[in-house]
Amino acid sequence: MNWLLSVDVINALGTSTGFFFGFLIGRQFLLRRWQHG
Amino acid sequence: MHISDGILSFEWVVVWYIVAALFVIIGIREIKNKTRENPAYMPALAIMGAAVFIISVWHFPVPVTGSSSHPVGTPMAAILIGGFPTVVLSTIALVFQLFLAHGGVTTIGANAVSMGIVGTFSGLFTYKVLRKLGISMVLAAGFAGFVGDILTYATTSAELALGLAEESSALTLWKIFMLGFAPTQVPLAVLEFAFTAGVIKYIAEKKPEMLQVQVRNALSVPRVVASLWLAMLGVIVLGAYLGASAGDLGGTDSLVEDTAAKLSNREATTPIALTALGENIAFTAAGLIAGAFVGYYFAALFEARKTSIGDAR
Repeated sequence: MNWLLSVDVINALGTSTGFFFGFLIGRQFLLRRWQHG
Repeated sequence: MHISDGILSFEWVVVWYIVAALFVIIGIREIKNKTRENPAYMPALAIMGAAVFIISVWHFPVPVTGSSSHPVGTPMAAILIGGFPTVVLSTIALVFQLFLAHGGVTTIGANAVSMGIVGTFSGLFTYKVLRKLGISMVLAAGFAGFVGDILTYATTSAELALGLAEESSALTLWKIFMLGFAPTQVPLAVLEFAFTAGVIKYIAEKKPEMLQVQVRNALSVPRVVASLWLAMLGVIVLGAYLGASAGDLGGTDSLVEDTAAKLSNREATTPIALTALGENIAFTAAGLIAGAFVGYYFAALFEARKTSIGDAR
């Protein structure tokens, strides 16, 4: 399992996970602003 | 393609800074004019800025070579927002990427030339030529992505070679560096082909004039996002598993740069050094922040604001 725990692989997984969650959060942020304003 | 501090000689640092500065100045003027003419240009600029920032540090492991690298994103941005504004965005992205231990302060010029100028304009040129030859928009965009990606790395190799040419002939060095980048970068360029074509196809269908068409919520966005996320994790894990036997999956930037450093007896340094855990956290945070930007402006550009019955007078 060492291959999965290498810094670069975790970076790749982290960037991907961060990006997609961030996307949903950012999108939701605007949708809520529309809803309330 | 991120060259760190300490590798390039001083003259070349200055040369690349001057070249980049000229393009950035023109780009800033163009951005000012375009935003004045069309206020809706700003969200497109913001979404492309975040996209270029994250795409150009988004590492993918390549199975055969056992190393990982990233696409550049600038050809896509160039097709959508224009060449010179893309140079400005890439330069800003490179500054922020210092916080991810990518690149260097003295090499922002060189890196802006490879990714921002060469990646951008070679992609844009390919796109325009292929369109004139009657090739479909999607295919032309794909080839723009491929060419822009490869030429970005060819330029990085040239910059390294020129910067170290006193040790050996520049052409010999260029070949050495290109051979270092190519095996990993060619598959990445194919990936760049695919997503550039995909994004342009999406926008051509949904927003031909880029800024006015509103998307009907036919597909659930979170579901599509979740599927893309899982698919991407799958690609990365599979790539890492298959590639681990060939190498340690370290970034090609540092692999090639190590060769350059050894050849020249110079030491590569970066203004912000991160521990392994720090890097993991920084990359995840970078993904999160860039994702939030892209998500926000995605909604602003592509999702219709739902008006309540009370509003529909």
